[in-house]
Amino acid sequence: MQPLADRTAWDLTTSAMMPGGGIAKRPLHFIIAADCSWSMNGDKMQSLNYAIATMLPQLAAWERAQENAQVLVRAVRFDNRAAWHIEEPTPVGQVRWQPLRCEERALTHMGAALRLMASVLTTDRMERRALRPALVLITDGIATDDFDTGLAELLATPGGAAAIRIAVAIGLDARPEQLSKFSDATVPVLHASAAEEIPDLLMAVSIAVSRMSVVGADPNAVAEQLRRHGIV
Amino acid sequence: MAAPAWRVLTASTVGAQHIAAGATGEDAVGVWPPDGRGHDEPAVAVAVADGHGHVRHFRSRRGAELAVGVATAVGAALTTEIAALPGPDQVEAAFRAAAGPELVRRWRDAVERDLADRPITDVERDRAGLAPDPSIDDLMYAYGSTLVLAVAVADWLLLAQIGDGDAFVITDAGTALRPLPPDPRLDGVVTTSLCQPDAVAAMRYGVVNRAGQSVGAVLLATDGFGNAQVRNDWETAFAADLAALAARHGRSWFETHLPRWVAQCASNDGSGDDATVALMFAAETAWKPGPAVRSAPSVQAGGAL
Repeated sequence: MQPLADRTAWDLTTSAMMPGGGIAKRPLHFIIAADCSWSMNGDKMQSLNYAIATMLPQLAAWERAQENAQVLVRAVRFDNRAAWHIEEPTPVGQVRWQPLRCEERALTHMGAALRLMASVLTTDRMERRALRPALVLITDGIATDDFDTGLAELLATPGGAAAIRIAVAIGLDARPEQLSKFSDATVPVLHASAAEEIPDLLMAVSIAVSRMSVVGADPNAVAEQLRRHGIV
Repeated sequence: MAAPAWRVLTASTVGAQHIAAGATGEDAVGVWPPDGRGHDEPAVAVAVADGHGHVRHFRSRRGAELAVGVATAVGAALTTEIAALPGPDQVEAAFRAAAGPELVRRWRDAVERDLADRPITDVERDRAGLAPDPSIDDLMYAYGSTLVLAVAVADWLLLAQIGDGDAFVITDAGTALRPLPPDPRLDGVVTTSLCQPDAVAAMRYGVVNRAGQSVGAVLLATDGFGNAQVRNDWETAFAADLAALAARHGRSWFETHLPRWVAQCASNDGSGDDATVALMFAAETAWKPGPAVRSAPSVQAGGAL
């Protein structure tokens, strides 16, 4: 044993530190893509903002309780274009939701939103050890740009292909057949016939996201959770 | 120069998620010679395995145990065979034959014997959603496991792997080398497995001749260890840090620390999954480390990109 005076700070910490640069919980990336087209204006957008702002603390509470994964949130808004609403992957407990607003007469560039999500789900942007990401697409309409190309770009990324993908359709104008292309085969499109149903659906989404932290979780398990909660 | 010798340290911890769920661990580790841990041996065969967690793999813990048992037996036989071979081509051919077709065949035979000794119960069959009269492939699936094997004798270090997990070499200068080719099918979600029908084709091999390549240590690990590491290039940092620690403290120092590190990785501060590590030290190594990378705390709050 060296005398204490001869030992460096590095020596004194070796018993507590392991080689390799540190450990952490496995990241679980959760990306919300929200429709901000003009048709969402009013009750729908108000309800969506309320739903997200209510869902995130629930996810944060779940994260604290289970301790298996760290949920990192991003958000995309899409109207005449797609842009990050939350660009940096932010620990769910630190997110302070800023309400989304609709742009007058704005269209629904959903394909652009899928491409933006794809840009952060590539091998060089995702941690090797990350759990399957969770992607949620919320819209009340149909894409007014090239949805299929955007979806193809998303599914061409390892993170996009592996992700649990959940689509939430609001109202009667959303086109389920388009959204079902985005959704996991085992997870049906969730449908809110009225704005007031959005919070319940997003709460179900948070339950599905929480399932993704379980080692070996697969979309079938998520679908089972949604069935168990009477959502599908 | 002293004859090459190896010292093997192992540690394994059941994952926090499994403990919370009241489940048992599904990792296994094996070493030949059976009493070869903790002191120098001229030849060793070391294996780690990770049984799959899905309900369909309801006997994966046993599958992993059988995998390390078969792998170390195959490796032990190789240590004798290889010593008599004339050159690298023959060594590699012998290794591929033994660690590929022979190992997979013996694992499947071992599974069949286990099934004969302990047929599946109605409860197991129902839980897994199997038909009343499952095929042998369905039953093999129940024992699904990954495997990482290292065989070291004379100047040869031979590595084989199927599925996820890690196997890399740490040079005397603290550089990480990956002798095994990557498998593009391993996307962090699914893994190749001993239980798949084309398991032989999914096996990867690496051969290192220590006459031309510095080998200070070898790390074999199940994915619960690597999945806890913050850095994407954690092998690079691990190798640099390990060389610095080995130079400063010697190999014996790791005997008390390795189990703690593995336990940290398996905890809720890490992957929460079963974590198993076998660390093989080349006994004669004169460590010449560069700067250590250990600037980060052992547990970080976040997993930033």
